[in-house]
Amino acid sequence: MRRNLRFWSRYTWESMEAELIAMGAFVLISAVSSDPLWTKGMSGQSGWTDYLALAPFYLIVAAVICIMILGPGSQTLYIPLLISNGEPRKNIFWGYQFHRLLLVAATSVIAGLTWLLIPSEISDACLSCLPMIVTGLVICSSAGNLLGSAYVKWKWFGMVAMVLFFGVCGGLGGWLVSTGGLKIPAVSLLTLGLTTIIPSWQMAALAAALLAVDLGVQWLLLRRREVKF
Amino acid sequence: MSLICEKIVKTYSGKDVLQSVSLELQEGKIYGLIGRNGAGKTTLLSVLTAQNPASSGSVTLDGMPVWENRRALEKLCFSRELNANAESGLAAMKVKEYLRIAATYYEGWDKEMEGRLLNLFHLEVKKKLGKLSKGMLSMVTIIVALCSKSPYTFLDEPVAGLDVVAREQFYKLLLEEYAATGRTFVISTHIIEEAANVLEDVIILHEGKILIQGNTQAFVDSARYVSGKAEDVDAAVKDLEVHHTDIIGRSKGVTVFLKPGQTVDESYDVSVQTVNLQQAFVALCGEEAQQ
Repeated sequence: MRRNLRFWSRYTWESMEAELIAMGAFVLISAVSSDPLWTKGMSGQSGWTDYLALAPFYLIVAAVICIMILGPGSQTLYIPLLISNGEPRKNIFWGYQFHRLLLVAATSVIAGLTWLLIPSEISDACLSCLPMIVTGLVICSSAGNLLGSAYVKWKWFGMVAMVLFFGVCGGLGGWLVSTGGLKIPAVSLLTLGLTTIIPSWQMAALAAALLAVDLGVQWLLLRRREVKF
Repeated sequence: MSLICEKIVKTYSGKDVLQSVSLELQEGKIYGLIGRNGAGKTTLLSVLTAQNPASSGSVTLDGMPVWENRRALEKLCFSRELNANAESGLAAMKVKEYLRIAATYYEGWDKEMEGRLLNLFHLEVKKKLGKLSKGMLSMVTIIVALCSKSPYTFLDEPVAGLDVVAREQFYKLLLEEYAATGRTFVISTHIIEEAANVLEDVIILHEGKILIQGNTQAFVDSARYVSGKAEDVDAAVKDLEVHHTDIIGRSKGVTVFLKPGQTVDESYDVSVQTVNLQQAFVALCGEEAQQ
């Protein structure tokens, strides 16, 4: 199990690198496209404080994208690769769950610490909804993984589902960029708004249900999984 | 130590790709697994190493079930033929990453040998698998197989796409490793005659069934090609196991497999020739020729 954890820890670190690069890109886009006036401050403090307090929001958006993409990627490439390297399926199953947990935990801890270290109105609001953010990440992880399972089991159905899903996400992202939704003030409003709109117990129930279905489907598939490179 | 599979059946879409295959692989031998395309070679190797589940039957190593058993699995390495297409995601993976993952999972991984083989094959570790030629992909699978140091190592078409020099290098490396460690190797190949000298035992798989398992030389020695006029040939090989008949006009040629104590009756006007492994294999598994 030790080498299995070593592999998945390294894979998580590489995934985090991708996440941080995506976050950097979002921060850059938002900074370039924002009204320079925002640097004068939104909450009566330095504009840079607000700016830094929003960086974890971009990290979470990047995490959602990476987690959704990693689900299908892991299932089509890494899981069969580890089977072909002689690792028992149950070890792979638990190692993979460890990787998912680590990814969600690392993202949440980085975001939480940043908000703790940069006190502002936005940081306070975001910290208060951290459990909701974690729940959201778990939902994304399960959804991405279910897409991966669908692709492995029913290739065409999974492919159509992925194209639709990522197409909608891409379209939404494009619409956000074109309408200024990624600009700092818009993001801060969105972030603050999220804390009040969605009741977290509903998300928690959805996360638990999706996770249970995902784990069940994944184990059923993995038990009979065939390596076909 | 021996790897035993008993009554393995593997079914795909209602078709039995492996039909009640039973086999014993003893320690310290080089086995050749030969068969025509679609005979079930890769499927058999996948089932033996628990990479794919069998529909029924059992595989044990020293009495331990291989399926989901880390203690048994760590003694096995199946370096499969790589097909680095975009669909599997392997195409985007770099050679060094592929080797790093293998090194993580094989406890006895020989790092020094990995470096030596990379140099020997002139492989660039920063290249993506999708950018490698068929021969270079075979080199990667050879590196994994040899460096894993697994007591039972299975190679699926290790020389596919390799040029003659690289093939010679592979056979030399294989024999050196075998002499130094006594590991068991099971090699599936289509280039039979070239490999014949290194294969101690041969396993012939045909349409999901094992036709022959035994010493390569004894198998080759048991085969004869008998040719001449059709009536003479028929008389000379009467009561013998006849395979693969060639008929050219009034002449006839047949390959026979002699059981201990049997001989071809050379009192008839026939020519009796020895055959090589490839010819014996074709006689067993090939279609009959008639002109």
